[in-house]
Amino acid sequence: MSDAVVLTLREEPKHALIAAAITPDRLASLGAAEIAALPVVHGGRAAQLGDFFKVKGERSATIRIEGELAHVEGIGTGMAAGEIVVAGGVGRDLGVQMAGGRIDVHGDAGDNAGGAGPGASRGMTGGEIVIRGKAGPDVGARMRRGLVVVTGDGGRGTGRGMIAGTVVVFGTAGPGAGRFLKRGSIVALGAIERPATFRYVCTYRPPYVPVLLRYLGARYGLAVADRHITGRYERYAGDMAELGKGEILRWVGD
Amino acid sequence: MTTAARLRITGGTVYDPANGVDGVVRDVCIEGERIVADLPSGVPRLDARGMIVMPGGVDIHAHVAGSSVNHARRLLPEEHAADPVPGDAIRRSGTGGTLPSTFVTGYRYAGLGYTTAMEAAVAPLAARHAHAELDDTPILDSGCFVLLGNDDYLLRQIATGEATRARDYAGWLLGVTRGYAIKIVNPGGVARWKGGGSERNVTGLDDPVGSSAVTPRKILETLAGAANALALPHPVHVHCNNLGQAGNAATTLESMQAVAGQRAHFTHLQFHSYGGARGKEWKSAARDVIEYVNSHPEVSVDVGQVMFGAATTVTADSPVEYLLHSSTGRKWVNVDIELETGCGIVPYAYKEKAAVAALQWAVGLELFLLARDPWRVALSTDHPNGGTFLSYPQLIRLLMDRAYRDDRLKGVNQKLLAGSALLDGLAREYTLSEIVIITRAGPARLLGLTSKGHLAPGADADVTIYANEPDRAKMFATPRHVLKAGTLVVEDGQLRRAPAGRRLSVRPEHDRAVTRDLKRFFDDYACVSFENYGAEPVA
Repeated sequence: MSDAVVLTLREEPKHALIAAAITPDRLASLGAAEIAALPVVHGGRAAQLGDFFKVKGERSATIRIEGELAHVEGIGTGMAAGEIVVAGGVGRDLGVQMAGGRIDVHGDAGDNAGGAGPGASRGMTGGEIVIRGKAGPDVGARMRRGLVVVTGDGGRGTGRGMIAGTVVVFGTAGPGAGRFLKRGSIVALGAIERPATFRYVCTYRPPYVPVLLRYLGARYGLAVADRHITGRYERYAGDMAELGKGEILRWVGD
Repeated sequence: MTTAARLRITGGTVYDPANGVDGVVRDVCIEGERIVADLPSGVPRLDARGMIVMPGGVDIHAHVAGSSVNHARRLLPEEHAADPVPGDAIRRSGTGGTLPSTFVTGYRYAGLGYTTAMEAAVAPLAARHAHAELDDTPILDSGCFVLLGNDDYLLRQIATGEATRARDYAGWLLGVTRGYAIKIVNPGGVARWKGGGSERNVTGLDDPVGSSAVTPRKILETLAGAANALALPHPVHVHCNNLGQAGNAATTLESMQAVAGQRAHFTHLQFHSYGGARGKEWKSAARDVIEYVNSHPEVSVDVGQVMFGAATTVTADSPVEYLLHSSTGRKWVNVDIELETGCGIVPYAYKEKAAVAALQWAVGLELFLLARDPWRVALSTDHPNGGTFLSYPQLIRLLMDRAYRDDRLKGVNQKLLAGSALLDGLAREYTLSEIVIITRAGPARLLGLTSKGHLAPGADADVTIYANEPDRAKMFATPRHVLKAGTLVVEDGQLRRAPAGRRLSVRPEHDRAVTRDLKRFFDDYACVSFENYGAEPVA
């Protein structure tokens, strides 16, 4: 058993590389050779993880992934435990339908991070995803539980159709953020457009936001400004076209 | 031209109830695509010693192709991701799930020993689509049941008392759509659903549909009469009103009485055999319904058993799907097929712990176990509505193995089972011969397929050979060899060949004068021109 399994991309794949097999729960019980033999799909054709990644370490629920991963999709799909640290940006479907564990991305993420698989009614059901950069469209879409943090801007439809859970966006949340949301919270430290079907409730200092932001500073070392911790937030309840038990919290200053 | 391939299947225990053969060790000889009486010595042999030989399976009612099935596939991409089927030298790639892709449907049916399946609901407008998909569904011989019970032109003929023209229309429509039988789904109910207004379904046989002259009863009478007058091989195939409603057994019995004396097939009877009152507590009324079937030899049924697990409800009965979507909150589609019918789809899961699902499961088993004439009670799950065809082996085990059945019964929700014959204890165990009847010989006879479902000389060489496993579920799930029209498609449990299947269709005689009126109707109301209608251009 190693401290971590380190996957290093040999060269950038020519086509989309679906690497849904990369989950800590799976790698925790596999040797290096078995990890290299895990199935991936490259440009619609079956291939093996080892064709694209150098594998170092084995039998660990901590995974480090290195290289230019913008074309690598589906990392952490359905993971339930363990930790993935990505030393760069990743492609779409990061942590789709994950149920637990942590994903820490030191770069941008593609579409649908923490979201639902094709046709599925719910996205991630637990765990934490931290994206230290921009997130693509539909980040946290249809999530059921868990935490997604984007330190840059969130894409179009951030938190769209959330069933529950929390999305924190440090930058600007994209258009259509929070639409069709049933429950759950979108905490917007930057600009966010209020959907027409969200209703203004009040401006206050929500007690859980400082707790959450301090946790992000302590656990992930994110630079959280004091003004966000101590500041006031406008609360919008919605989506009134859906269940209406969710909220958008927009930071409005001290 | 080479001489037809010959094969002697030797030493197997043959079950051929249509010819009175019940577990006799004998050879089965095949020449070309047919069974023959005998072959000279020295022809190739297939050793079936210790194995069980029976005709290929015939599914009398399944949803395997066409626009509704394809809508359902498009609604369920998650099933495709979960069950990919890679291609190889024999197979085309595809996907599985509750609605497999066309090629996979063929492979998997053959993998259960089935060689014929009827697509049970084809909207005439989409007949070309259904045939195109069936062309790509290998191995299976197939036919289409054409939806007519809510057809606008037909309802207009009934409204004006033109029974003869209605019959000619049915005959014409079956011909141009290359259909096999007339299907009725919730007669009048779908038309009301599509019509809007406050009444979105019918509640009984005498509700007016548009005109006071048009009622579900009248539609049933007209089409049952048409099917018999047109001398179709399969009588009218009826999905009754009030599917899935508590207390619907009364409607089902009334529907059977409405066509008394005429041949008629009532499909997925399980979904129509509930007691209690509408909107109130459900209970089983299987005993009442099957007793009527037992005592009326002109009536045939298939059961539409519910099997626990994933299913997808696909039906032309749009109002039912609306109810199902409202109660489950699952994603759905609902489609208006302009002048002809409707379509609704909701994915569904039957759970042992759910009271209604447990009742449905019990009602289906009661129907099977209380049926006296297996020739008129076919095995079906209304694939994929009550469960997929892949659950047939489990269903067979439930019927053949009382201990297993009683054990499963203990694990289901008992809340609604009071009064169910199953709870009182049904000792019956189906014999192998009876299973052959309800899965092969019976459906073939009910469909009028004289060369299927049996092994007499002249029959199609559709033969399934099973290892004689004591676990019947395992036995029926993994045939050792399957022959389709004389071609060995499954050999030693492996798919070896996947030839194209044949289409079964009818072209009934009718008065061609009906087309003059129809052309006017098409010009006034239809989205396609008369000449472009049907599975092939109208000649």
